[in-house]
Amino acid sequence: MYLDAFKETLVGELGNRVAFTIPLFGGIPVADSVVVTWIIMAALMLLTLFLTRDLRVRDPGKVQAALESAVEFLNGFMKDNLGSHWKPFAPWLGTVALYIALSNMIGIFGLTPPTKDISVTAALALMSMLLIYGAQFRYNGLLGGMKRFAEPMPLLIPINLMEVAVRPLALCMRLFGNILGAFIIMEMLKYVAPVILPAVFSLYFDLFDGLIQTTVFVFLTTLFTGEGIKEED
Amino acid sequence: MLEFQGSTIIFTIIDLVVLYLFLRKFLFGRVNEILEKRASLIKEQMDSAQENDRRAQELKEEYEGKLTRAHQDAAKIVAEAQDRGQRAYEAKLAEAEDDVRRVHAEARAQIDEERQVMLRGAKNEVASLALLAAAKVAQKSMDAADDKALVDSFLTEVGEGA
Repeated sequence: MYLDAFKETLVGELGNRVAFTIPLFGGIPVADSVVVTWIIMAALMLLTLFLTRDLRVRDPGKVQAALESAVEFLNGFMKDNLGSHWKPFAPWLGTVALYIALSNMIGIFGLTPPTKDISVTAALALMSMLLIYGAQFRYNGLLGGMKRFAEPMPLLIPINLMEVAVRPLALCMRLFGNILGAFIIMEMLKYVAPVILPAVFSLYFDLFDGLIQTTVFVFLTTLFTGEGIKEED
Repeated sequence: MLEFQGSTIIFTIIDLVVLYLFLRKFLFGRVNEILEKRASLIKEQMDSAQENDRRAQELKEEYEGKLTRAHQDAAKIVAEAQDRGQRAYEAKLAEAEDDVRRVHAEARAQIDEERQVMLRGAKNEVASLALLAAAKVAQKSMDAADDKALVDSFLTEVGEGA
């Protein structure tokens, strides 16, 4: 009896609910994840405007110092992994990192993490694919970009070509699977023991795992991009 | 749960691009601008510090050169003054010696002349005395000029003999 009810709620939670439908072109469904994304965006934008309203060259405050070291960390990471063309990539990957991190952790506030929706992780992975292969052709030219598929040896051409599809798929599924798994476990815990225990596990599943998955996603995207554009020296 | 929803994918991509543009301008753009400004400020300050250091070094060398030249000038001036003093002293000394010699010579010449005058006077006296004695002896007055010549020749002979 109880178990049936539990199963039902769980399955209900696992689906991606449609928040509302825009009555255009026969109705565009707007999923919950998109609405939460908008909330995250609004929070990030307001926080950005608040934190960067008074930046000073001399005598930075504590907040500014923290902000600067975070951006410097990102820049340094991009420099290490992307070589001399790192500059245009840092803001995009920083944005993706902030978005995924906040998405993964937003479960703490009782909202559904957008990264639990496979369509969101698919969108992220598509953009990563565009970034990886766009950069490869942008910085090596058409011919040079092609040649990159024959590295480190021509024998690997089929595998490298397969990776064009495999890499984004892996990125998408990894992020989705981890967050969904954490979500299921948290839901079950909440059902079994509604107090205290979920809070403890939330620390691990929402904060720790959320940050780990953020790092993995951004790190892999950077690494793949770097592979495509880094000069051999 | 494993279905891809086109509208969500497109919404997410649009959201990501919007968020990217916003954060690039207001977060990464602003912070990177500050970082670059600070880096250039530090570089500028270091450059100007180095420039100041270099200028100070130049000034120091210049002043040291000036000081050395001043020392040399001072030494030269002192040496010249000493030299001039020495020369003036020597000139004065020489002049004084000359004066002494001249006065000495003049005095000697005067003494000589006086002696000559005295001698001549004495000679005349002796000649007169001799004439007087001879006249006395000859009891005869002699013609002054003739006698005088006679006495002179006599005296000359005596003088040569003496």
